[in-house]
Amino acid sequence: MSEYKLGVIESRFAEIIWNNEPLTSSELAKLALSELDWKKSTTYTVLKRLCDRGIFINENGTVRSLISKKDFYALQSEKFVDETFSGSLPAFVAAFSSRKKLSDDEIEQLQHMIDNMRR
Amino acid sequence: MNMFYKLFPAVLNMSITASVATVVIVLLRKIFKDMPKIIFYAMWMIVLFRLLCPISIPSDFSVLNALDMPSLSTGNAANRMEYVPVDIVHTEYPEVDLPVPLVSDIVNYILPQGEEQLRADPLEAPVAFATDIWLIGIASMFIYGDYSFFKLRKKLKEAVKLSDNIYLCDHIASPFVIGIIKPKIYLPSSIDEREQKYIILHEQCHIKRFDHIVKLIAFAALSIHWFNPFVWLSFTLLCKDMEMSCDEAVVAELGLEIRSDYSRSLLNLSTGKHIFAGAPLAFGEGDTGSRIKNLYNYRKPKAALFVAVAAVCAILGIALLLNPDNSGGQIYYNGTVYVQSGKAQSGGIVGSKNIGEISSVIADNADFSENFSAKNIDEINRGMPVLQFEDDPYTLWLTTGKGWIPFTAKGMSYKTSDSWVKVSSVEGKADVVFEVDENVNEIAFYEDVYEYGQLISSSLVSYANTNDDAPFERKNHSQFSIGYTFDSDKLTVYELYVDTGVMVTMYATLPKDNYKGYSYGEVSTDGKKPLLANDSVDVAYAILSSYDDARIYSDYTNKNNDTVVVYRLVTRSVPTR
Repeated sequence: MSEYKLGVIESRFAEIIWNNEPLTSSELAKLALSELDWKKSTTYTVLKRLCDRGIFINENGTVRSLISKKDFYALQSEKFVDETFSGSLPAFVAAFSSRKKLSDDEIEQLQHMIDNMRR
Repeated sequence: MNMFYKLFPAVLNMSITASVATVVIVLLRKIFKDMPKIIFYAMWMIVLFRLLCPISIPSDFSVLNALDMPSLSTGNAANRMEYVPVDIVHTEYPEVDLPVPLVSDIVNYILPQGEEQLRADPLEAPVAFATDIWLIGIASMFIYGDYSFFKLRKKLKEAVKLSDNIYLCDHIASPFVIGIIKPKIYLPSSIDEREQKYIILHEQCHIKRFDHIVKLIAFAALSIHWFNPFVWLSFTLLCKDMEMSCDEAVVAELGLEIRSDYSRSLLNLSTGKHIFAGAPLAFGEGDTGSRIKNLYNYRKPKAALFVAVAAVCAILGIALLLNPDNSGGQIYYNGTVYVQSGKAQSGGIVGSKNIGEISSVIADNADFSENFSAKNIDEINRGMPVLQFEDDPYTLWLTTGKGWIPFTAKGMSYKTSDSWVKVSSVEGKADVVFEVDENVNEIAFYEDVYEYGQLISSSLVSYANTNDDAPFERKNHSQFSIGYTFDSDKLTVYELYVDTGVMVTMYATLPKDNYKGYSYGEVSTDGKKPLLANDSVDVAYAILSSYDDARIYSDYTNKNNDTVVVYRLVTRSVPTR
């Protein structure tokens, strides 16, 4: 399901939709022009691509999301851990923390999450 | 149509020189593998020059001299290499001279020679076929280049500006520079900011050095020479050296410490495959592994060593840029030598007297004179022109079957004839007028008629000596004229001019429209008028033949000629009493 991966710029475009939905496609084109400096045709091409992937839908000129931002990123990170660490979350955390020390605050949060899951 | 056949051989000649340069540079790269790659990157420009420019300046300093390669003068200061005769289809005795002698021998063994070459143009079809395949290849290369360019262009519409001329773009495998006048840098959106810094520096280095233009030119050269594996090799190595020298420039600027970070960026961006895409200058292109190794081994060489290696490479580079200078004695020839007067491809035959004159000039060169004097007249009369004369009376052109080489011979009494013979129909009488050496006291004028190569008649048309009255008339100390009149009541008369001033009038019963007449004048001249030396034989002859211009080299004993009328002028010095 690599279709769920978005490029950095596609993500910025997707953010615009998530932050403003529902919106008309011409509104979207205006926003994309001001934020990404995209031509109308480029906006429509990318929108079409993301709709084909099932993230958004364009019905009679109104653009809405089919997957919420939160769900999308959850799916994407799950996919990432699956692909890169064979689904092992500890392996992921270990890799993450080997380069960048976790702050006390972050450890606290993680502990809290784990405690919640135990219950 | 002629042009068409010359196109591919001309490109082939450029390709061969470039291959020689490629081999030399590959060897230098091996020997000096720890040296900064900028040296070799600069040297690849020589290959580009050789691939795209057919001419260069002749010099004894050329690397090609060492291989004894044939160059051909263009009549200007520059000359061009000719391993393969450009007009191979219409050369009577085609012969190639490649840098690999064994291959030359095999090719020369296969090539049709002489009459076989003249009759059916056996090389026409293979050369045309090769030319077509070659052109199709070029078209494919350009279509491929355009296709990948436009595909990429489409993707780049989604790019977002980062700063100035730097853009971020999703789904591109590696960074690259695109554009010619205002080049833009595109970075994959996935790279982090720390990597961006190196990569932007790298790409800016490319732009500063006009690498994006070099690469376009290199791709054009590759497209033209796609059939040559050496060119693929040099293109690949050029790209590699271009990238590596740019890597080195970045490291030199930011310090050796950044090498590991920089190498990691390279690894992240390695595309895993070589893209020969027509336009973009990809950063990830080239073998990532060897680029990282190169960076790891990179250390600033000692200034003295660098200068020494750069100097060696520069000297070799210049030697690769220059063509050999084959004028003036550097001629090795193993065949028959023929002499003719006249420019361009006009045919001609030399009489016996000329051998002495020519060989005395060529005697300066041992290799040449040895082979030359070994030849007898029969062989010389076979008619392939090997020596001919330029406008300048002191320039001889010599060919060894591989192309024409200017041969400077001071004091030669030969002079050019500007053009072909003029053929016109006249009625009545005509004169043949010669100027002769002041010692000439006797002139005999013979007419020989050959049919299908057989001598069928020979007659003394006119004889005169200084003691006679007209038609042999001594005008002053150094000039005689001989008049020759014939009956033309029932006959068509062709008047043939050779621009040396020799005028031969001949007649024939053959219908004019179906036959062409060619006059082959071989007379030494002083100024505009022909000069007959003492005790000499001069031959002017006319061929009546149904063959076209391609057959002009045929001599009069060629059995393909229908009728040939040969005029022989024999001069003698009679002791004056």
